[in-house]
Formats: sequence, C-alpha cells, structure tokens
Amino acid sequence: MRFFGSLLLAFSLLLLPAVAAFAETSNLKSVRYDSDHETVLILLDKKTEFRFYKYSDPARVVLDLKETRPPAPSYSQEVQSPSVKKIRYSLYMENPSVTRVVLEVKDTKDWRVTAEESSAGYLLKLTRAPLTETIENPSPPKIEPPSGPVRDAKGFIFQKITSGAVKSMMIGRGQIRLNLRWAFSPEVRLSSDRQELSFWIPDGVEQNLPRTIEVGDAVFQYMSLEESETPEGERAIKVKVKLQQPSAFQKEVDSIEEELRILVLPRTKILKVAVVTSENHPQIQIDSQVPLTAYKLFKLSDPHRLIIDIPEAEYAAEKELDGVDGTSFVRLRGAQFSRDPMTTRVVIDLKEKTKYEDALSPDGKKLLITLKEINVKENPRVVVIDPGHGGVDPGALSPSGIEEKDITLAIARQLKKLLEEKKYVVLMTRNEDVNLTLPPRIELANQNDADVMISIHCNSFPGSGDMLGMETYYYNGESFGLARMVHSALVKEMKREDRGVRKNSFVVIKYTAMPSVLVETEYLSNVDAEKFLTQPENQKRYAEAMAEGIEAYFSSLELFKESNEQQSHRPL
Amino acid sequence: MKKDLYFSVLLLLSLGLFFFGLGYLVKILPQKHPVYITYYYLAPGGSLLVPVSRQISLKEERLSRERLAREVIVDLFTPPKNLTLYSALPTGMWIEKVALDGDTAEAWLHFVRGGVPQGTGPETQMVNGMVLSMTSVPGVKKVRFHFINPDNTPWESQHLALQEPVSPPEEWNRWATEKELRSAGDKPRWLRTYWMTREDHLLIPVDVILPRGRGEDDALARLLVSGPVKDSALAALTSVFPEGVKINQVKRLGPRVDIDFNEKFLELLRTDPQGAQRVLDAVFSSYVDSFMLAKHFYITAGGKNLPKELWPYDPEKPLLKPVVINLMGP
Repeated sequence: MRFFGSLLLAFSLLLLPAVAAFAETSNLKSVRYDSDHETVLILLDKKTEFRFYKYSDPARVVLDLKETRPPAPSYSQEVQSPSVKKIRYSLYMENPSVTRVVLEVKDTKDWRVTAEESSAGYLLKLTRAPLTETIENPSPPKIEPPSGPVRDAKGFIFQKITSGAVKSMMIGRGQIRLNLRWAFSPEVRLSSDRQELSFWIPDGVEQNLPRTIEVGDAVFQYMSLEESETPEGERAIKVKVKLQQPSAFQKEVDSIEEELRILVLPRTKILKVAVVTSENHPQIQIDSQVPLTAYKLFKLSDPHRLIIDIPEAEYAAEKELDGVDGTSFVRLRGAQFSRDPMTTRVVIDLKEKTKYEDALSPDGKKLLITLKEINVKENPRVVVIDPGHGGVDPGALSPSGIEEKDITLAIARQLKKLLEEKKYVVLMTRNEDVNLTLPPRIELANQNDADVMISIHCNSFPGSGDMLGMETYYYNGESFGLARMVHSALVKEMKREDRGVRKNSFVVIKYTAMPSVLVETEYLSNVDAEKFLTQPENQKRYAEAMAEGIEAYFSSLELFKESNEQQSHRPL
Repeated sequence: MKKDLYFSVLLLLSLGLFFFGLGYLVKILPQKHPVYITYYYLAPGGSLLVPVSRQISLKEERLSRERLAREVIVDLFTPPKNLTLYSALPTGMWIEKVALDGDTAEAWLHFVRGGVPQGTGPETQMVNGMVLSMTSVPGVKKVRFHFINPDNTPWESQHLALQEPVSPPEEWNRWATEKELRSAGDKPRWLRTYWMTREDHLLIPVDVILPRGRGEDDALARLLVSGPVKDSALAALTSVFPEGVKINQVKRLGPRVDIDFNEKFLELLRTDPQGAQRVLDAVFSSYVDSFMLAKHFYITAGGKNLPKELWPYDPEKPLLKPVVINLMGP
C-alpha cells in the first residue's frame, strides 16, 4: 500500500511541471522594431521562459518563447536598418507550443536579449546595444516626460509621443504627418459633417492627457489627444482633428521616411484659369476659392501633355484657352474630370517634351505652372552596351554554324547608333570581334558611372531545337524596372514568344553598380530563330525595341523624380 | 512519511534514469525515417527541372557523405531509363572528384572541347540541377565548382557568378510573362503548383504568380485544377486533375488545411487509385511549398468524409504528407 502511495506521489511530482507549464500559457502581443536603438521589442502578456540562439548562413538571431501563442499564425516584415533585414515569427513547426521569433540580421555579433516586467506585460528586447539591465534584475520601462507643442518656421506644430506606434506628429499646411516607430496604418474616420477626423495610435502611453492643441490655420481648428480604447478593446491614444470646413482626406505612406501623411482636402472651386508669360516662358495660373492642399502633376506622351489633377475641386472656369506662339505650349483644356470623387483636371497640350516648374502662392489660392524647353545637353545619360562573348569565345552556335558573338555585336552597333541619335552617351564594352572576359565589362560600366547597362545575348539549347522565345534577366530590385520596360518593348515590337522577366546571378548584372539587364534575344539553336536573328532588319528591330525600353525607363525615372518634387511642393 | 518521501525520490530518480536511457537508445538506434536523395533532371524541352527522389536503404545510409555526393553527380549523368528525362549536364563533361569541406561540397568537373553548356539557359540548368541535387545529401548546403579546361587550366563561367560556393537557388522553374509580372505589382506573390508531364505523368513544381484579385488558397486550387495555359511555353505540362475532378473548397488555418474535392474524386479513387494518389501528392506538395505552416491535411469530398472502403484513414486525424516527388526504386 505504501509502495502505491509513493508511486502516486512520484507521478504527481513528475506531472507537476507539465501542469504548471500548461497553466502559464502566455500571449505574444506585439513584435516591433525601434530603429533609434536598433532594438526589437517583443511584448508578452505574461512572463515566459525563452531560449536565445544565433545561427549563420544566413545570419539570424532566434528567440524561442515557450508556451506562447502568437497573435497570427505567421508574420514577416522587412526592415530597413543597418543591422536587421527582416523580422518574422510563427509557431515553431516541431513544437507548436513554442513561438519562434527570427531576426534576419547582417551580423550576429553583439546581439543580446534582455527582459523586463512592466505594467504593460513582459518585455523582451533583442538588441545590439551593451547589456544595461539583466534578466535577473528587471526594472520598469522609463517614461520620458512629454514635450509641449512647438510650431516650426514652416507653420507645423510638433507633438512628440513617447511610446506606441508613433514617435511624433506634425500638423499644419493641410497635413497631419505621423513619424512611425513601426509600420502601421490607422483607420482614419471622417465625421458625417466632414469636419472632424479621428484615428487611434495603438499602444501609446502618454502623460497629461487629455490635451488640446490649437492650430487655427486655413485648414485646421484644433487637435485633441485622449487616452481611449480601440473598438477591439486595445489601449490607445485617440486623436481628433477639427477642420475649418467640410473636407475629404487622403492617406499616404512613405516607407523610406517611415512617415504616414494624412492630407486634408478642403472642398474648393476652380474659379479661373489664365495664361501669362514670364521671361519668355508660358505660365499657367489656376485660381482656387480656398487654399489648395494637394494636387497631382504628371506627363503623358504621344502626344505630349502635362496633366494637373486637383482633388475635391469643382471646375467653374473657362474650358479652353489657346497656346502661346513660339513656345511648346499648344492649348489648355479644363473640365470636371469626375464628380465622385470630385476632381478637376487641367490638361496642357504640348508640341514636344517640356520641363515644368510648379509653385503655390503664399496664400495657397494660386497655382502657377511655368513651362520650359528641355536642354538635353544639360545632363546626358550614359548607357553601356555589352555585346556578349567575342574573339575566341563564340558563345552559342546555330545549327548552321552562325556564332552568337556576331549577332550580339550587330544588334549592339544598331542600338548604339539609335541611342546616340537620342543624345545619350553610349559606351560599348567591345565594338569589334575581340576577346573580352567578364570583369573588364563590369569595370567599364562602373568606372564610367553609367546610368544603365544592357548586355545582349542569344540563348541556346542544343539538345532541344524547338525551344523559342525571349527572356530578360535582372539581379537586384533596382534593375527590375529596367528589365520590365526593356522586355515589354521587346515583346511588343518583336512578337516572339515571351519567356518572361527572370532573376539570375549572371556576372555582368550582379556586380554592376547601376541598373543592368541581360537580354536573351532568341534561341540560336532553333532553325527558325537562327533565320530570324541573322536578318539585318530584325537586328535593327531588336535595337529599336531595346532603345524604346531604355528611354521608357529614363522617362519613368523623370516621372518619379517629378512626383517626389510634387510632394515637396504640394503643401501650402 | 519521511520514509515515503525518500522512497518517492528514489523511485523518481529510477524513472528518470529509465526514460533517459530509453531516449539515448532511440537516438543511437538506426532511424526508421527514410532518407531521400533527390536528383534533378531536365524535362523534355529543357526549360524545367524535374525532381526524382530515391529512397536510400540502411546499407547505403552508412555511405560517407562524400561518396553520396559523388554518386549523386554520377547518377545525374544517367537519368532513369524508363523516364523521358535528360541530364542537365552537357555531353562531354565528367566529374573528376568530389570533396566535402564542412557543409560545402566541392566538385571538380572536366570537359572535352565543346563540352560546356551554350547559353544562359543550359548553364543555369546545369548549375541549378547540380546544386539542388547535391544539397539533398544530408548535411550538404552549398556547392563549390571547379571547371577544368581540356588543357588542365581553370575555366571561367561565361555567364553565371560561380567564384563563391552556390546555395540552392530560390528561383527555379519560375514562370511569369512580362504581362503577368506587371499585373502582380512590384512585389509579386509566387505560388508553387505541381503539374505533370503528359508522357510520364511526372510531377513538376512550377512557381507562378498569384493571379490578381483572388485569395491565395483559391488561386492555388484553380492553378492545380486548370493546369498551365494551353498556348504558353509550359504546354508540355498538364494538370494532374482528370476531367471533372475539382476542388470545391480549401480552408487553411495555421498548419491545418481542409480540402474538399467534388464527388467525382470518389470515382477517381475507385477507378484509378494511382491517379488519385497523384492528385493528392500534387495538392499536398503545392500547399506545403506555398504556405510556410501548411502541414496537416483533412480530406473530404462533396462536404462529406470519404467512405471507409475507399479511404482507410481516420477522418478526424490529419494526414501528414512528406514531400517526396516522383519516387523511384533504390
């Protein structure tokens, strides 16, 4: 009897840790990256056991949280940081009671974990900073005293937020700018009278709330902050913004600046559109009833046009105006582009590609667009053309013995001629049938600070003569846009089988410092493709398509640049 | 009572020792889990790599990893005779030596004049085929290449960067036209579907872009059932789903994947068990490869559990499918 009693006691002792562990399941509340301190903050609702590992190839830091449930089955977030590439977590496949948090890092050296208990829960910090607090001696997180509102020279009111998803807020000039601690996009609500915006900042802890900040400009009355709960029951700071007049809004995320912008668009009327001339440059003036906070400018080609879209604007001006003789400005048209959403569109018809400058008057009620002719000699683009193979290296051979090196050179020479006609500076890695290994090709492009590089090849599958089609390869993300545009132009012009845009680590596109692509024009091993490739008119068409793709790529860069300039000009 | 406690502690220690010993024995005894080596050959047309797995018997398991890696390459030159597959290595190339340096396999390859791959396509397929195959040997993670010219001088690759050891490529058998890429945006989501060769019914993994505006689970089900677009370069492949067999619904939550086929699937189980097995292999492998957590499968047809005479498995228990594709005998 005594034996059975002891056996029961022994089993109870064995079971005790398991029961205790089951009872202490914790929940992973959030995983965030604090870029200021290069620290990943992992918040759990209660203390739990964890294990910390470092792995190489690829370098990663791993934290296994025992008896922990994640908020979602899996999560992955790329991070732009000098030390961390990606943060991800999921249930550990081998043991679903464990949640595994993985940081893909540049280098595992100096990474440490610290833990602290606070009212918010159990906070684990993965950091490269020296260990300041030990696991055995946790201390509550420090809360910095909030700073009061500060108005800068541009008219923005600055509000620092000491914790939660937002580091600071700026309000003014028709915008609310949120500088983010981690990627987050609030649900912004507009009241039924369209005069109040509201949203929540999750996990924010702030002293001295509620608080009201008087703005009092043309768009905003005031902003208020108060402790609240989201509809999901999460603790948060509720932000309310009272507007001067009924308005709409747009949300924009700038992932590079880690900023979220809420643009407020007061309803307005376009009262007048006029053409004036200043220093021989035509200038278009658009008058608005209330200050403009946002507008969009973009160019279209074939025929060349400059488009101005103004949101929340009713068009009440003249519908058509004549251009100015002796300039590229042909005609101006204005109309109500759409009523839902309310948008005004002004179109400037142009003779040729034209540069423009846009500016708002100090009161924001006049938008001025100045048209200027482009001087292509100002900043010529440098294109490096690399005809594949050469000399003793013939590359692929066709069934009748045609060599790849001759076709690539013929297309490259045509492309050079076309690009030079378009005023590009063109450099050839080889312009003759000479031996050339891969490193000098890369050096030529890198040393001359080329804008793009295009390497021309023919593919071959000697065992499979029926394979056909074109492929365009890129290596890094920067080259993806160029690859797509060149390939798109080739598919459209050549009407050959589309074998896609692909990624691969070819030497000439991997080690070049600028956007670079490798084009496989066709399969030289195919009898039909051989005939097609050897015809001079087809070689010319390949060159034309490549030139068109390169030009489209540069135009898209211009548009992107202009769009960035637009954003800097947009606010009042 | 004190005596009881001593007795309990003693018993606890004995039990602990017993379980520890049992665990150790399990560890040192031969594992029952089979070891698979996967070879990658070229499908007809040369544009896709086909995995063919081979189960290694216990006797072979005792082979050194060097020997295994070497055997993999040797076998890569000779695809199984009963399948319409081609070696990814060009005629005129042979292996001189394989050595292991930690997790890196070093391969010295010689070739006769004209024995190097022509064009980026064959060069990529050769390197990918070798790297994918050799890294299926347990413990091998990278491959360093040494190509030797006919005059015994090193040969530099004409296209690929091979100076450093090469890890298994993330992107192989990946397929998207420029139009599809454009519609998918800058960060396309790729799904891996398994289709089969028309002749040998070999399952081939192909990565395709998620069609816009569809849920991922439904999109993958549609790709599996419909097969490749008829006029695409993948026309040599076809869906593993026979006419009329379809997926009604897929529900996925963490590791759990519920697949509901239509009732035609029951007919397939009855009339062509091999065909049904291929369908299940393709479906399981596609979801396991496309979704990180997908692991436990529950199968129904027409919303009902499968009849016991056709399906011997407990419908309440998940099916855990090891991903072994195109298995051939040892």
